[in-house]
Amino acid sequence: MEILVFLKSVSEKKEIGEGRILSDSDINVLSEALDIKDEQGGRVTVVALGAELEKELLKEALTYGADRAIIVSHEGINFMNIGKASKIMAKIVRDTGHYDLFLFGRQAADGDSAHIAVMTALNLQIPLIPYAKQIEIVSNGVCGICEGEAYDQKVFVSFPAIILSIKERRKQRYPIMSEIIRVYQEDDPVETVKCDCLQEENPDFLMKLIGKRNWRKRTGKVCMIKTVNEDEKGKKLLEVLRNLKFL
Amino acid sequence: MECGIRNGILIIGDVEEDKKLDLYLELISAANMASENQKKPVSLLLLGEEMEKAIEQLRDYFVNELIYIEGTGLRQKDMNIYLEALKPVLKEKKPELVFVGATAFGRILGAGIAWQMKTELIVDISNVRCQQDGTVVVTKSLNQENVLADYAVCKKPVVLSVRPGVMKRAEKIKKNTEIYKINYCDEKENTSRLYWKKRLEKKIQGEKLNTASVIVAGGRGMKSKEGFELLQKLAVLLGGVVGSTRPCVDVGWTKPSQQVGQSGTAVKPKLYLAFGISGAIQHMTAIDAEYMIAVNCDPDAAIFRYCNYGIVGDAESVLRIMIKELETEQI
Repeated sequence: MEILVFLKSVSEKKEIGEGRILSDSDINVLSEALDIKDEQGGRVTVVALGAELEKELLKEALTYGADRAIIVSHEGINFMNIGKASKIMAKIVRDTGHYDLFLFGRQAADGDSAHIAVMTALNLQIPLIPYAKQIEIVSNGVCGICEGEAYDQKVFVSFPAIILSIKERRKQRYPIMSEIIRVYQEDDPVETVKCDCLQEENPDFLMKLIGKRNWRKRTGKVCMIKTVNEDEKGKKLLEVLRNLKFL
Repeated sequence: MECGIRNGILIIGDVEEDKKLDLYLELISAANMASENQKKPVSLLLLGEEMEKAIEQLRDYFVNELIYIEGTGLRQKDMNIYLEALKPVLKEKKPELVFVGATAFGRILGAGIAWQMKTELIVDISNVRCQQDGTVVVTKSLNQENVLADYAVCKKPVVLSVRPGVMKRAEKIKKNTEIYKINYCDEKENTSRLYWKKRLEKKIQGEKLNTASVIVAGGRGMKSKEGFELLQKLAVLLGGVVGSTRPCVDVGWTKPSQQVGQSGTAVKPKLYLAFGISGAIQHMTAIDAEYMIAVNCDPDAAIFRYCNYGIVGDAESVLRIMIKELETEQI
């Protein structure tokens, strides 16, 4: 089974060397791919769009047991332009091999990542299992349970399939010592693919930043409850709730 | 296909019985705000099965036309079927702005519509207005800086997704809007490799987050699933429900349905008790509480800028004391 996992550095500011770069959401989706590989055999390829930070992210993914890492370097690409980013994703998929299963995680700079997964699926004309909270590999395809607001739905897709996974962590995975040594001893364990395929398109801007402001602050002053004793803090908070008539 | 107004503002969504109607009232309000200085007509286009009741309820709001596409195939929340049904309408109407609700299916459908219209999608906006010169300005959280940002929309057509619960609902007027019905013929051969096997009904337990008047919420500072069991105890004692931040869902401490925030639920409780929540903008912009009380061990946590009352302390210890005191009072 050839599995491709899309990873991304998310909104929190992180510097290289400042702890783990992979987000919990990415760890979840990577773990899901590695679990499938353990059960079915095959190979897990991780791919990310970006620069140095994303390269580190991919190296981290390799230490968890991914077999191949590809960074797509593209000048000026921004996840705000979801349509363009998804076209690049689709191009990379076509250019780098044959895959049976594509996994996207939830968290991304585009909100809930659903958008890039949807547009990549449409660009590749591969069926998408959206918001899959559970997937099961069967003989000729994959069954998934899609989370919905009022009800869930069970679906089946024959391979290849794209999964937007929202599964929470089921089995804790850790970096493998031998992989850490291999990854950080190799000169460049991450393959770089330059993607200038879309440069002929107009670099039109989707939107222009015209102002920033703090999110609504309280008009009144914040009342900080100051007490050294931990017991007192709990009691004081109950007192506040009583005064506000919540108790 | 004759579909009335062209080059206007189009609200698109799915309808199931008469659920989600509040969301469409919010989208009608957003679309009218976007239309204000350019006087673009607003159309509401809904898709689903057996929709007459829902459509009648939306007739007296400020939209220029109400269109609904009905078909049994639209019962399944299958993006490809919805896009197929929308194709001729989008081609005919050529909308400049399309509004969708950022629900689970709305996000999927919005991205699909943007793809079909060969354009882009601006996601999770929390406000929209139209300047004197006709420029549409949207407000979104600027992730990297924990602030809100206003953006001028430079490209049209464009699809805008609006988070449920953040916009004011449109008010009812005597409008008696013109209604157009389109029957979607779904007898075509299914060429997709995706098969919908069955619908799994969910047991929704207790009060929902979006209607709860007391929310006891936790963040990473709760440290574990056991920390959330304490929050549940306090929530029961206060007659409230438990909410959480996104990272707690990702690590499996809470369910996605408990997530408050940009990609979760927007809430309007009377009381929001935040334990071990740092105050990231993606979380905060989804809360419109009468009172917010925060407990966090970091005195510089952003949440202290937004709350009415704050305690710098260990969230778990404070919780244990509160539960102990309240349980003693009950005996």
